[in-house]
Amino acid sequence: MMSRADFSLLVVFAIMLGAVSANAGAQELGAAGPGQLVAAGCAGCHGALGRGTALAPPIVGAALSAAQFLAAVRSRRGAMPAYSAEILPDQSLAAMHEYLSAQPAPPRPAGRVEVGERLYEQVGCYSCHSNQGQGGTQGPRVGPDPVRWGRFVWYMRYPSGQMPPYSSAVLSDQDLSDIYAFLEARPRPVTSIPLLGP
Amino acid sequence: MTKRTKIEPTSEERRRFLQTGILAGATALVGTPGEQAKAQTADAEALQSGTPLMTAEAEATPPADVQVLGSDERSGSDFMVDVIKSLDFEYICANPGSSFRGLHESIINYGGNQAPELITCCHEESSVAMAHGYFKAAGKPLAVMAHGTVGLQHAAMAVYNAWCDRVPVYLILGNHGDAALRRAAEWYHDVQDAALMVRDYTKWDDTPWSLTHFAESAVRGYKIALTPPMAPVVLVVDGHLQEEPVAKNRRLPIPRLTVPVAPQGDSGAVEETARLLVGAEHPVIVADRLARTPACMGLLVELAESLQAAVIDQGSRMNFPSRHRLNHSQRARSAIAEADVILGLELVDFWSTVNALRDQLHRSTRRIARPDAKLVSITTGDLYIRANYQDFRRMQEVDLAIAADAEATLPALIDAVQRLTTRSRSRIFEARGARLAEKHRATAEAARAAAAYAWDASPVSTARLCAEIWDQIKHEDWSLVSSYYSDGGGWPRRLWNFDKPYHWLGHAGGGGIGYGAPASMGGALANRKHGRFSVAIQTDGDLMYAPGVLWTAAHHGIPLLSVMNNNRAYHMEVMHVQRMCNARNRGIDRARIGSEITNPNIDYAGLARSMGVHAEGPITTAAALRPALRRAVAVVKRGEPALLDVVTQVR
Repeated sequence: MMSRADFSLLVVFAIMLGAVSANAGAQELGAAGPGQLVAAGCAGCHGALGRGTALAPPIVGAALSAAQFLAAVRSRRGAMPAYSAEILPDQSLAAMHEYLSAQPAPPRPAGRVEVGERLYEQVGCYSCHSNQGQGGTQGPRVGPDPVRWGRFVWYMRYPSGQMPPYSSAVLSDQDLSDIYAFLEARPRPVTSIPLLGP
Repeated sequence: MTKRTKIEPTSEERRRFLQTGILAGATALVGTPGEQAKAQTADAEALQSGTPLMTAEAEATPPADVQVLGSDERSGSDFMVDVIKSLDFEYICANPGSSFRGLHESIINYGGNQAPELITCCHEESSVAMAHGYFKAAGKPLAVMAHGTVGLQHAAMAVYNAWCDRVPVYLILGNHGDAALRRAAEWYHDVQDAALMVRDYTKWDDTPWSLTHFAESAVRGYKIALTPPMAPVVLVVDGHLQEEPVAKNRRLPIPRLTVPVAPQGDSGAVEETARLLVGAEHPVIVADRLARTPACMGLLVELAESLQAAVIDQGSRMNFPSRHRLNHSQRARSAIAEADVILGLELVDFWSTVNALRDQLHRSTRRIARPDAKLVSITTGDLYIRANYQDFRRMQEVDLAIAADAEATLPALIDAVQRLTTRSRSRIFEARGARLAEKHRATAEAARAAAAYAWDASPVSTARLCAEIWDQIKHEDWSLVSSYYSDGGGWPRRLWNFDKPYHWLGHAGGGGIGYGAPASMGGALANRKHGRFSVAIQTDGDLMYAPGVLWTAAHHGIPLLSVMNNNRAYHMEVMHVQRMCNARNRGIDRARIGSEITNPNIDYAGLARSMGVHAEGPITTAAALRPALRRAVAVVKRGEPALLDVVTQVR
């Protein structure tokens, strides 16, 4: 059976091939906008509006700087293929970044720290990420400074690796926002702890 | 009417009848008048029921034959002790059992309870797991005695762990083969083929039928157990053979033990491996069940430094110093992903080293290593494999497979690498080494930064727990004898400086919970004579399998600091059930049912104190941990065990 990752790759490459075979270039991609995402092959995984699908996270909002965006697109990461300058020139990516940055990030309901603290424990986030979100042998640190909200929701719904998925039947967007608020509120570590010296 | 046939008892049977009768008669003679009357009534009832009893009248009659060894005789088990002593066992662990009572008596009296000294265990699983931990600290096996049936059934899980970890455990099973001479209880304790139950996960077994046969099998078994790949062996020792007298002047030879030299890899294959490594841009050395002897760590360091290659220590043995700049165990996946040549040394699971399995509703796998990476394996795993149990893992395609002992092969490989390294390659190696050193430094710094999160939290974070322990032991000659957290990414290996062969003893092997507590006692027992400070990070679920080992530690004065990582759950199982809940969209809030160890919380400190072990807890804050650790360290340095029940975060 084809895995989700395999399927994702297939879709990406099919769309890329389509885009490239249409002689895609800065001029052919047209003005920055949804059409550019479709033409460049991004929409196949990230959605026509860049708001994410089961295959890839949302890319709207100013999450990355232009340089970070360029580096991310140029390098292969997980199911995301690398786009060379021949396929997508730097100037096209810069325009795309400008467009995406101007789009509103996915909406987030107001989060409640106390409710999030209870949910974090109740639904087992602590199992891998430890009681304070600091991470452990089974999962990375998730707070404070969690990943941006859109990415967080997408990963909860469609995780990669060993993370189990949390569908909306198990955790609503409101629940996720509460947990997110709890993670944001985790205290920063004390610096210069003598026991942790080199 | 049933026709009765008179059966004349054999000499042996008469002896047994008289022995039974002597005990019964003694009972009848020593009581008060009232008790005597009750005893007489019982005698009468017993006679009616046909139970053989010695009456007072019969007691007054001299026995028909001698019931003790003559001055010119000795028991078969005395000779067995001679054989056992010739194998240089320091200790023999046992939960007492009548099927080896002859050997038991010979060990404590004839053998003087020295080399081997009998270690009293409260469960056979504890006996075998102690032997497992002991070997990895001592480098030589510890013997275990158990009943052939009920004892081995208790021991089986620990035998399986030792098998999966390729650790030699020397099992001596008591059994009475001759059905005509069995006591009542012996029918339950005896079996036609005692070793059958564990034959799939032991390397060899035998049932000797004479003392000469015993001597040969005992020495042969030891030799087989210690020949790589090492594994447990079983010797089934007949009860009658143990107890039957033999003439003192009867010459019974004991074969001389010669443990075979471990096999070194084919010289051509070693040369080819060296050529691949020297020519590689990103060679990575992965070691798992590699270090057989204390010399191995130095050899692996020499190989790595000769190449300036990254080393990933997967942790089944203490293979490579944790703070060496070429130790990249904490960034193993990145190192594997960039490698162009991967050398696997005694890998338990080469497949999982270069591939990943995603455990979701639909499982999937993918290769982590580059598709063009050359893979070379050196392992005794290619020399010996068994069917049925699947501990051999997935089949990994490799470019060169050397069926040999990796440690024995290292000197030749180092020679070849150094010989093939040109000046220009040396310069490339130096540059690579500098880059790797920087990556190692950054990884270590990231680990320390990560440990700072939730530093003052309650329950105590596992990072804080390990940092506090390290602060107390770092100036001792320490040995971490057991820890479930020393798996990849575990805090001890991220924060502590492991640089001696005994600093870490490795894992359970088969993943059978219940290994930690007894194996750490075995490790501490081996460390005791060296004056090493043994420490274990003890999980709660593991301790509850056979907590009686705490009494064994107190009774035998085994100095071990056991610091509990008490997360009040079989937490790995919580995570598995949670995964199922997630995948089935049924909500997660009940995932802990069946896996939590709460309501009531267990008083582990009280449990330990009841068995004579210094203990404190539950400790729920980091502030309370440090002074308790200081007190416990002082106890252990006095030569006694100590346990701290620290309530920790789950991971």
